[in-house]
Amino acid sequence: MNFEEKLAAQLKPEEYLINIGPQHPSTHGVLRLLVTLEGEIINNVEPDIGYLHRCFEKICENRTYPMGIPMTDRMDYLGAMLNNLGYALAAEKLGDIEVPIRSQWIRIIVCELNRIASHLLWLAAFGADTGALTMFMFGLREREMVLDILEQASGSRLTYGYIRIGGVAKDIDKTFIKKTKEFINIFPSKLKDYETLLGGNPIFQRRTQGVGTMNLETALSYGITGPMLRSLGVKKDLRKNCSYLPYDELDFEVAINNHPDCYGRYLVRIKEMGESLKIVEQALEKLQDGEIMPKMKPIFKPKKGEAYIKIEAPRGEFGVFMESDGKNKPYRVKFRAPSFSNLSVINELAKGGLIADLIVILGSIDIVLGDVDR
Amino acid sequence: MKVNDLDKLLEKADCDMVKLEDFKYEISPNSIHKIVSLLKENDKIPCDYLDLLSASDYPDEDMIVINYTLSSSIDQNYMVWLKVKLSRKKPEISSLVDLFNGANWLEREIYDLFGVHFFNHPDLRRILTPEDFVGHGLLKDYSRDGFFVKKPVKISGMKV
Repeated sequence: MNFEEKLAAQLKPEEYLINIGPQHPSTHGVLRLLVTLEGEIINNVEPDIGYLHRCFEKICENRTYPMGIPMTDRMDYLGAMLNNLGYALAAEKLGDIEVPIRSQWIRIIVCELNRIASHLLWLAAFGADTGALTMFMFGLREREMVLDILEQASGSRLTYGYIRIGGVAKDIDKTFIKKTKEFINIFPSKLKDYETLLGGNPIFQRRTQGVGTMNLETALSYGITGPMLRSLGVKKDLRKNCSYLPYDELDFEVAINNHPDCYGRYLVRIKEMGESLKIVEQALEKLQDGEIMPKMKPIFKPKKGEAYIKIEAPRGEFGVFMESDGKNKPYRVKFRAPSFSNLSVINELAKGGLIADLIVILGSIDIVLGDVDR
Repeated sequence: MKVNDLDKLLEKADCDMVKLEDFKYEISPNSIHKIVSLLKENDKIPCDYLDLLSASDYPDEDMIVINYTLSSSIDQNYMVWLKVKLSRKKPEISSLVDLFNGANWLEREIYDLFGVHFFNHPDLRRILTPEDFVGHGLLKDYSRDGFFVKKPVKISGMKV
């Protein structure tokens, strides 16, 4: 007896089981949800994942260290820079490599731009989830500007492979800086537009306020991180007091608020985009000439040991556990995916709510199935 | 200091353990549940957040090592790292789902990819691979030959 049959056998007479996905536009990828309904009320949601499992951890074990970087791009394909960064940091910690200062600032700039792009796509898709289709166009329009900037630096639009072990792949040029400055000038007014168009829209507020509420105990117990946790008023952001990049020299706030619902998650992400923009602006001023790659041996062979690195990715804490046995290939790589832990809470959020709100709740979690399944 | 607090706390637990470095301990499989619940519910060094659950396979030494890291939502400056060695022939360990709900999926993932059995887990089944999948993918001796078709497929009545 497989799992669906078991669920069906447990149904009460007044309940029924519906299947959403895996091929459904509103599940943001290949996610399958088995929903137990009583009328329109949700009694249980059972996510079925693994449709996009591509064995990245196994593949990384059979490739050399630098060859693992393109693998990380394809996990969270909307925040690929941050995945590159996590992998590179773990390898650098194992190999005792010091990253040049110019590279560190370039890393901050590209990572924060990537965070803005990721949140913009989320905003666009969340608008579409709640019925605000105009927002979809607006979000993608501004995201296109960011993608152009990142393409200028790395040569590709989604799977960058730009942050390498030791530094970055190549230096940024004048066009990159010019385009970024243009974006910094334009974007704050656009953010205001979003807040009036979407956040100030009574229909959107009615769809999101009080929907998918979560208390702090549940969030901690499930290991929720990122904007979802910060919408509960917890000031947990790894960019503050961090050691992996010089964020301490910059002036920015951690976006928090006290709306434990979908609307609160929207507010946190909107504020976070503004803060990221501030970081990019300051980091551009701090940028100085210098090397982008340290002198390294041609074959990267770290000593025997293990390292665990956590960084703040757009969706939460992205962790990389890397173990070396002294050879040119990692013995074991484990990715702690933020979407994986965040998705596991969906039953708690959706239980007792309406089926119409399920898609809004799923959208507010901001999952990327490539990140969930790895 | 947090390190001393942690040492004192774990001494009180009275379990077999070896301190590998600051904040990093190797403990016996029987005591994992006791130590994690102690870490979760103390005042001095609270760890309210299960961060990482990963396993590594060592076929030559006949063991599977499970790494747990626990951290706090309030203080970002420390992270407690626990290592547990299990026998490779019969890997079994107590589940932490009653302490952390998030352990549910994390343990299912370890079960799926390493075949580690978790006691008292409410719903231990495969999560990333299909239900009818054979073997555990991340074990070092898992054959990768299945990815390639070695012999050409013959269809009856067809001349090759």
